Amino acid sequence: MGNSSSAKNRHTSGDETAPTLVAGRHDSTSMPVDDGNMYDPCVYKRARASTITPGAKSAQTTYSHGPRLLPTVFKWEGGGKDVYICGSFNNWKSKIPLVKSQGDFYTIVDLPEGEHEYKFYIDGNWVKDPSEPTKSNQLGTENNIVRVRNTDFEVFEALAIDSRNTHSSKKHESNEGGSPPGDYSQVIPVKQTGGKHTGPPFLPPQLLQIILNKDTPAHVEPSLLPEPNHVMLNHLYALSIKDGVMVLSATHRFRKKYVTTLLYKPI
Amino acid sequence: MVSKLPLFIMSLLRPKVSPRPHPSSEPKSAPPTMAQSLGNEHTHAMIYKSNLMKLSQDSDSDKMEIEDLEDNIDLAFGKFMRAHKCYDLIPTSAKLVIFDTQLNVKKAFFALVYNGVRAAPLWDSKQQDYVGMLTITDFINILKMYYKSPLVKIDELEDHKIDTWRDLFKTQQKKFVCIDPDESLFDAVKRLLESHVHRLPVIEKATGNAIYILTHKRILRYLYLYMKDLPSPGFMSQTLEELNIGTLKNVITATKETPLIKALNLFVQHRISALPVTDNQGKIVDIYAKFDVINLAAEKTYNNLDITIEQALLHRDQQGVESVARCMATETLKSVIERIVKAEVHRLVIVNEKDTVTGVISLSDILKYIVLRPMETH
Repeated sequence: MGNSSSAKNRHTSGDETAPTLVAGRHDSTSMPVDDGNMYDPCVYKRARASTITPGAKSAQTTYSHGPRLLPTVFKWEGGGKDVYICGSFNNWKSKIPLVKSQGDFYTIVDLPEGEHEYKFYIDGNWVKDPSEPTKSNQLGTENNIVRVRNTDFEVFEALAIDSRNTHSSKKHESNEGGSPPGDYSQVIPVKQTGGKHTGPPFLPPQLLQIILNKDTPAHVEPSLLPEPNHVMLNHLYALSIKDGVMVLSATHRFRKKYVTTLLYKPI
Repeated sequence: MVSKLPLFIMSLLRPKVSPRPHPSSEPKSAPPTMAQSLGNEHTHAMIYKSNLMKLSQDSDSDKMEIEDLEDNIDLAFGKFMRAHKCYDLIPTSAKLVIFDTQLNVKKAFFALVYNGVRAAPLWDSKQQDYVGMLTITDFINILKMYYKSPLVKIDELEDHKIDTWRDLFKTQQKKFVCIDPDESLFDAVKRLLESHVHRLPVIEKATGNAIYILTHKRILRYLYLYMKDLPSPGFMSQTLEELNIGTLKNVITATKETPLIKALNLFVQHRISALPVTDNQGKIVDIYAKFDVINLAAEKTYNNLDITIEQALLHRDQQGVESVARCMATETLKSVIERIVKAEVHRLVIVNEKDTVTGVISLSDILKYIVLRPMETH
């Protein structure tokens, strides 16, 4: 179920026409048909993809009740015009088109856990991806292989729980949705003081850009400074005390101008 | 030691400093554009030019300008200055060095040198206010007052705090003058000239924060950027001779052999900011300005003021007659202004055909003549 939720997110936020395939499809090129017979949320998802076919129904039924389907990304970086993928997961029967995106080709196929063989079909030729693991088959040629593991998808599990929570809270218009789980009481819990955070917090890197330390070009007035970044404003800088004098500096905005003030003070 | 900090530091400690709502027409939250960035001073000024009409609507004086100028073009610059605020002149990003009055004078002068600035407002922690300025003139006064011989160290320079020094000079001290960023440039010129100061701190009245230090140089350069778009008064095409601007007689000069301590005395005695250095025939060979004195602090050579001006000038990259910005009394005011702005100097030495020094024209002379005088005589 967790998997199906994340699959739904992909559909709604992504390109509706992008082919998102489920293992077991036989013919991805046939006309999209609305599957009215939705008895499983997983199947309902598929119904929104443009690739559902009546012939796939039996296979879907098998898979939706069987092992979880895990979205697996296939990527082709070798160029070409028409790029398809075919594999053991669909019994080498149909060619799944890859979508071109910035020179590379992608598709996502929902696969059950386990090892799958696959091969790319580029402009009429069967090609394997040399950068991916391969395996020889009975015909004496080589196919790419992919191992799909449940443990790789724990993050999707978590995302699915999140999205389920937000959906239910929206439905019931309750405010509880955002609260983390656990016990709540009136007692303030004792803060854990770990050994890690003993020192002061790190200085944000943008504050290290000190305009006073930058060299000003020789031909300009020495009092002119580079324009400060807004994050530098209203921070107090200090020069280490030397010879009994402390120098403090701060940059302020005055309307559209910036004033960097240096105060020399004996201590 | 716990002591009070100036306002600007205090404001840091408050959680949120909200910008003071401002009556001026400019959007206060608008971020500065890239074009306004540093090193692009000209573009910067041009941006304001496009706002010129908008600004004009705020002040009645500028409307008058358009009507009145038919009668008196001489007022063009004065009215322009009245229509622009000191705020317009403040660079997009600049630093301002401030000294606590408890700071040691010597350290303060070193800090001026280190930061490449020529003046700093003084903050009095007890009064919680700005009380004055520390400039190169103070350095000259201290040297002049306490210098005895190269063999005697100037203890006063080592021991004195700015405060002690100010107390000694209390009687001859000028009132501290400053200006609000919303006051007009005309008021700034007037205050600079009438108080005989060269550094006018811009301090915002509402917060008491010092923002910038105005100088003659920056004011004239700002005016110069707009000059070609303003009606040109008749005096611009007249010569210095005809207009009788600047010091044209009794010019105080020095020679290469003049001891430095004497030069310092001349600065103070005649209230001048530079000495044209001449040879025996009165021909210009160099110039020694108050600004050159700060080099004594930079090189820590202030213990020997018996050296000659020639020796004192050795530090400068450019020496000799080429380094002196000059003009002739027969040149027009327009070309003189152009030269003084481009040379980025405070004064031009007026010479004749034989390079003999005949006078000096300073930024003060020019501003007084083209801005202040027409407005006051009108």
